[in-house]
Amino acid sequence: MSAKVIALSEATESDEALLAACVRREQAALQKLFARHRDAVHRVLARVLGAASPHLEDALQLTFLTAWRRADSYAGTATVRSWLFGIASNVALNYARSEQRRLRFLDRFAVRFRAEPPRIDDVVAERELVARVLDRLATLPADLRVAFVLCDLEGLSGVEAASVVGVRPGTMWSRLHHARRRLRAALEAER
Amino acid sequence: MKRCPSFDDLSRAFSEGNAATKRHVGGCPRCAATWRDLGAVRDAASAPVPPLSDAAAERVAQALWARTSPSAAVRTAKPLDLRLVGAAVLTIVALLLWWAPWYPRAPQAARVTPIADADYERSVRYDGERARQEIVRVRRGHLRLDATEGVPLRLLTSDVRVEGTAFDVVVVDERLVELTVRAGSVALWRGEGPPRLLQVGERWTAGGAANADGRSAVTEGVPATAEPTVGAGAAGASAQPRMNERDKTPDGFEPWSDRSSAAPVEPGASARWPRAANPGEPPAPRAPARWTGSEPSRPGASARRTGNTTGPAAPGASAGRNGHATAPAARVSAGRNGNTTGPPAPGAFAGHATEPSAPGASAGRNGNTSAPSARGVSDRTPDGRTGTHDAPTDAATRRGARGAEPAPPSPAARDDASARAPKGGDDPSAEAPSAPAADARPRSDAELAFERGWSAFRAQDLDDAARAFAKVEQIAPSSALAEDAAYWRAIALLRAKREEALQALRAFVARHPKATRAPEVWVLLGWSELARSNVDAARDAFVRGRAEGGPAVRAEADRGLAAIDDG
Repeated sequence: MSAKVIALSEATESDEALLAACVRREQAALQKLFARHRDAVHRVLARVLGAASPHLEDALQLTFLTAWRRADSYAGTATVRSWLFGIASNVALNYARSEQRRLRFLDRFAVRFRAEPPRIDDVVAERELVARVLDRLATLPADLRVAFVLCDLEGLSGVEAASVVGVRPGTMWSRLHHARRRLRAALEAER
Repeated sequence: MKRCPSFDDLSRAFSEGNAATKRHVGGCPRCAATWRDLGAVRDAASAPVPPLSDAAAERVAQALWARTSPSAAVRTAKPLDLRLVGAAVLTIVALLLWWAPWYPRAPQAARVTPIADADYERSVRYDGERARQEIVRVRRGHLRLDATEGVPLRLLTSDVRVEGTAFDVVVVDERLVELTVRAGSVALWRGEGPPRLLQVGERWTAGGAANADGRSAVTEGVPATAEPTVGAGAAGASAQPRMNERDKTPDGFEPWSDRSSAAPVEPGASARWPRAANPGEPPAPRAPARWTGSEPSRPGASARRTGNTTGPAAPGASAGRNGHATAPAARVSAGRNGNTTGPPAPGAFAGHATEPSAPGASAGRNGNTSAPSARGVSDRTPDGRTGTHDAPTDAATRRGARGAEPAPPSPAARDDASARAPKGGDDPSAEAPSAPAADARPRSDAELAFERGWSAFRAQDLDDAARAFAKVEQIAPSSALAEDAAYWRAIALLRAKREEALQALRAFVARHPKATRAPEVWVLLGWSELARSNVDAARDAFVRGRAEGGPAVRAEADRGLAAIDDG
């Protein structure tokens, strides 16, 4: 009985209410938000940073930690899920930039480590096209990648994606078009 | 749609589902191919990513709970960035520097201490938040004023304007009667013309209309006696009440005039205040004094030929031809015998020089050096007996010995009045020693120390005075000041009833056996020794003083010897 009540309560508790509770520093609200959106946020992070990125867990933690700290900045112009995606995108961008700086540093001193070989299950699971697209996606600039992930893969509109990322809609559209053009080039190369 | 849309338009329509574009794509194979590619890319990229494992989710959750728990918030508080702290400090300092000048400070105000029946009003002129000038308008009374640092203090009466640091004023009927500079300097404007500048220790008194030359004020050095002499002119009568009023000030400030036989006079004017101004004091049969020095002597000033002492000579003053010390005070004794005008020396030898000679002053062969007030030394004998000396018979001596004040031999009195007169003959009409109005010569440390000592002596700070005089001896042991300093140090100690006085007296006669004051000091030493039951030493001292001193000193020595004989 009590479990049912709790389940109903959780179901009726909106993301906005949980976020408001986060403003009041109620940790239970953060736990619920984390339980609801951790997979989606993880997916975004994995698509932006790459599924094999060693920073995925840190990025996931930092995303929700930032949400906890900045809960009072939620303006309500987008859904909480989109807002979390925006935070995750920015976190991923920061990681991507850090990674980019690290790689540049390694290139400078010619100490480039060999990348880990893809896991066998991935190779088996992915189709060839998917692999190529994902490879090309991984080579896209981070901001283009974020635009593509948010708009094409996570289904956010251009305006909403621009809002959560913090850029103007035109910029977001432009990034999205560039990303698509480059990914399409991967298909044409196959032909 | 006839024209094919651009790739961007197709891309946007792919996201937003523009109906017109979709229709065009349906009829345009080229655009349809692009459309399919967009879909293919999306489908390919939409391949599921490996889900977050439960273990990973648990690790993230645990880390997240740990970092968001209330206790962790305190525990994991970010340490202050030193750069931020430094920047904050610099910002605060900059703000303070910017803000400080505008900070409303406590109103700067001079300290105005009414001493006797004062009627005044004060106002502060402000420049923004800061006091710019303080004005004290006095109608009557005796006031002590001390300016606040950085805020000029102006005193106004109906007849004068005064600006200075620390000074006392006596105002009667909205007219300044007297001004004494206690610290710093004072500028006094009276009518047109340049201000009269007064330095520390100097005193200005209003002269009134009696002055022959039309001047209405004289400047007097404080150490000099302030008491008017006999023979006062018409103005003296009017000035008398003011003196009495000042004399009654409750702050203990007793003008030197109590002891003085000299009157502050203008050049050519007679003394103004009758001797009878001091109750119980016999009028001094003085001839009208003549002003001979309009300003206090300054270091380096030299006495005129008449050499009448007129108070403490300024540093550097030297005796004139007749060897009388120059004094800074403007007051001049007009005694027929050329008596000095300073306060009576200790021991009722007041007819003689009684002001301490100022630094640099040296007595001539007639030894009319300045001496301090009789009060300073001669109130009582070292053994506490009082009034047992033989007072000189001349008027000046009587004044000095006025009342029944006890008096050991005056340190300054070496002789009777006639003996003290310069050999060249002091013509009463002769000019008293004068000094340049302003000597720009910088004063030496010894001179400054002597002045400090004298000021302290005057203020009854005898220990400070003794220390200052000792400093003079230390700084310039071979200078002319050393003798004066040694003498006054001994006197200060004696008056303060310090044990060191005996040693100081001994040291004086040992170092300065030829000093004009030596006979006096011998007699003082005799009394001091006798007070300590050193009968033989006392006898020797009295004998020595009697042998070397003048009649008055001899008389005092005889008294001492008689006291020894009487047991």
